[in-house]
Amino acid sequence: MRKGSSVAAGLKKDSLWQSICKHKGLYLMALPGFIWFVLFKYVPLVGAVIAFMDYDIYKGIGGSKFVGFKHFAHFFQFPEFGQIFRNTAILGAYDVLIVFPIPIILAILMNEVRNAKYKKAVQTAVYVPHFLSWVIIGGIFTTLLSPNTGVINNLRQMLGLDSIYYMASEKHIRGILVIASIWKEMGWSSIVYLAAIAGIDPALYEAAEIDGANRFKRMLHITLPTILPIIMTMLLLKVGNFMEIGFEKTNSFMNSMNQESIDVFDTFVYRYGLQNLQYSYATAVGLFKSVVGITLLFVSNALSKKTTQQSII
Amino acid sequence: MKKKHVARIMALGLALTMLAGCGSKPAETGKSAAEGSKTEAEADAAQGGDAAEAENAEAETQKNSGEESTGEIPTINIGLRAGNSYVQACPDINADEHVLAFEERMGVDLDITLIQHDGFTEKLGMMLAQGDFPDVIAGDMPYTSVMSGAIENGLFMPLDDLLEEYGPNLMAQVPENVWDELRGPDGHIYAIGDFMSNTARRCTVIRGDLLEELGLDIPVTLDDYYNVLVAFKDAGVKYPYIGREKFKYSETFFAAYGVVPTTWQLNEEGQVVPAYLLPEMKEALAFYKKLYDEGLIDTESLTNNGTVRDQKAAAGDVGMMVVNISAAPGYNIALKENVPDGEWVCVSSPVNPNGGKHGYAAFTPTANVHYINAKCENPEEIIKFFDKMLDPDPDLQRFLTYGVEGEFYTVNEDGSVNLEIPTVSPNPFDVIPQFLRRVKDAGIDRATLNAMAGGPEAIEYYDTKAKDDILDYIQPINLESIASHPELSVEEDKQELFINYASKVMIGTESLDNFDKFVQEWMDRGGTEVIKEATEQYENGTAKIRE
Repeated sequence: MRKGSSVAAGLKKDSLWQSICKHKGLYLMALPGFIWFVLFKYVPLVGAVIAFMDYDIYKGIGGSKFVGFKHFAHFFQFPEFGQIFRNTAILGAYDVLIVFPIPIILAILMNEVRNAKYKKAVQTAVYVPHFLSWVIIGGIFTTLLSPNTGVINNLRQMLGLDSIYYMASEKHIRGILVIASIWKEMGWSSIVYLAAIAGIDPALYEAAEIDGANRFKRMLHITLPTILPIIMTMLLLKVGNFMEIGFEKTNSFMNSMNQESIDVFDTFVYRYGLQNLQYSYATAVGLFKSVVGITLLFVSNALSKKTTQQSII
Repeated sequence: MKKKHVARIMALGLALTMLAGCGSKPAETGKSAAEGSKTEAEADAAQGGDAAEAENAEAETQKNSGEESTGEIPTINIGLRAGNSYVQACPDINADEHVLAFEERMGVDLDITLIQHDGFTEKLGMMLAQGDFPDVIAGDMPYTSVMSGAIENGLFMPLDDLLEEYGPNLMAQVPENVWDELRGPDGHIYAIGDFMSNTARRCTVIRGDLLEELGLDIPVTLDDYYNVLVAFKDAGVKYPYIGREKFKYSETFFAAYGVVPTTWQLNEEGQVVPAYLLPEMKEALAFYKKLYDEGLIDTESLTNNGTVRDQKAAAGDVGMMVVNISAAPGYNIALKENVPDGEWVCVSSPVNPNGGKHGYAAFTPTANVHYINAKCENPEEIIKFFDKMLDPDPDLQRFLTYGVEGEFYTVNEDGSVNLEIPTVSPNPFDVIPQFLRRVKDAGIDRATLNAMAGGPEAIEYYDTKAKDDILDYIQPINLESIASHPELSVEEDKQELFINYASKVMIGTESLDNFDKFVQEWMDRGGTEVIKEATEQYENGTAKIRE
């Protein structure tokens, strides 16, 4: 879709075929990607039809019985539906409102660091957690927050406070998830913004300096506005993934005591659908999630178009 | 200028989605961690083997005399679960020296297809649904939904007549109740598998050295247990008792009340209900809560996974826990590395304070089962192959129990064996006795355990006291009413409603007085239907009895 719009912008008058003949090479280069998208992103969509069936793995799509919206109805009537929806929405909102801006701030701060060695060291340090899997991070946090042996609780005890079983606390667990997300991804996510900042014409800064703008003003009036388009793009992509809290992430932190606070669609699908071989049910829930996600994407895209003239569709 | 920007953004966006694609790999890891415990259970299930008495060692040269002259070697395509770490690490299992030695000895040419261990049931379902699977394939029990579906769709061959004709050893040695487990919905036998002559599975292990140091006897009653835990705590043991996430391997005190939460029991009205709904469960939960409040159970029990728990145990910080009997010697060895005098002693569950039954849940009488593809052209060769594994020939049995002579053991004049099991990981010793020897008495692996510290004691316990510490129960199969409400499940790891309630009661965020409300909620969510269906199954004989 992105490709389509950028091509169309330049070639409004030509028909598609004419433009293909004109830019054979370009189209040829785009072909593998195009095939990939069709094959791996669109063809499997047909399989979503099993959400409306009682799918029997031995009978296949052809032989299974159509049951309409049975699985959706079952899901909506499920006692925990509201809770799961709420958890997903809250964690998604935290992701957009709290986790999302951190890499931007980090990138801007990093850009102001003058000591190259120090900058390199910090960059490396903040990238590293990205390469750890969520399972490991879950283990690290569980250890750090342990009521008996964890560093945090040892500190609390030294200050004379009671130790808290954080991993079992419904009050704390969402915050812990947010902190873990920030810690894991902030460095990695800032790469995009750093690259965008590196592309800013130094002449702009020089001009601003001559005009008497201090560093903070330059940050505010040059850096930020120039990277605003990329921020909006990233934000829209993020909003499109609003419902994708991630199975590995949540499951690494979830236990029988905090489940009520962080059970989301992804974990629910895994437990109720895949673990119990209820493929139709799992697909129905997944489909519902995707529909909500795409609706959000379109709404936010329209809003963004109106307010900042930036859009991705 | 603007267009350039757009293009740049596109490129970056695209690059980022691709990066994101690379980053989303750990899904598998998460799953495998979630299934870690299953792995433990399965791996254990795969263990076993009868003490094949090695008598007079025949001369090496005689080995090759029989089979080969009679004709060509049959090829068997076999699909096996890759539950063994050596097998998983092996680049080509069909070229592995142990497999080759096994083939030579068994007179077959195996073509092994490995089925991934994690998510085995899903993978198996895919293979079966596509209809393209080996001549013989490892599977789940015939009454599970995937397997019974496959049987009903005619994917597997009924084996009754073939067994009669080609499986004399199988028919003679596999007990009748095991064959009953292997029947499909139509009553025919569809699978061949290992068998347990003793269904004891788990036990309590207590630090024997600590008991001795503190002058305590082995606890028998619930009060004894409590006193031991208190004494452990006073003596500075960090975690007098330790459990695991979702109450896995934590059922000592449920066992005391005869309400192990993975079991179904009869209630007073004669209905088949999950044990966790019985009134005794309330008492058992009160006991766990007491342990928690008094610091006698590791406060983090419910967030300990298997690895974490085992580390704490190996460090010498744990006084008491639940393990598989066959795994106890392994825990002994791990403990002795840090606490040279440390020792785990296998002990029965506490005596029921109400006078009722108690014990750890009985294990299924067979665990590793194999099906023959309906399209297979030479099923008799497969039956013969499995049958030969039970051939009483001592030479063959020694090979199947210990592997290739000279690699791990030597044979003495009197036929006894000097076994030295390598401690390297992945361990090649397991390939023949466990991965390839598919049919055997799989109760406990005597050969291996005897060579380990504390092994003989564990075997002794297994053969004697463990038999009196088995909790019998009813196992309804394939309950339709539970399919759409998995939270009502009774299976380990899946009893969501119960585990969430019980966890909160233990740590004090939910009141024990709400037990009746919990039971009512279970009923309201469809439990009434479930109980009705389970009771019907029990009455018409569909439900399995585990004892």
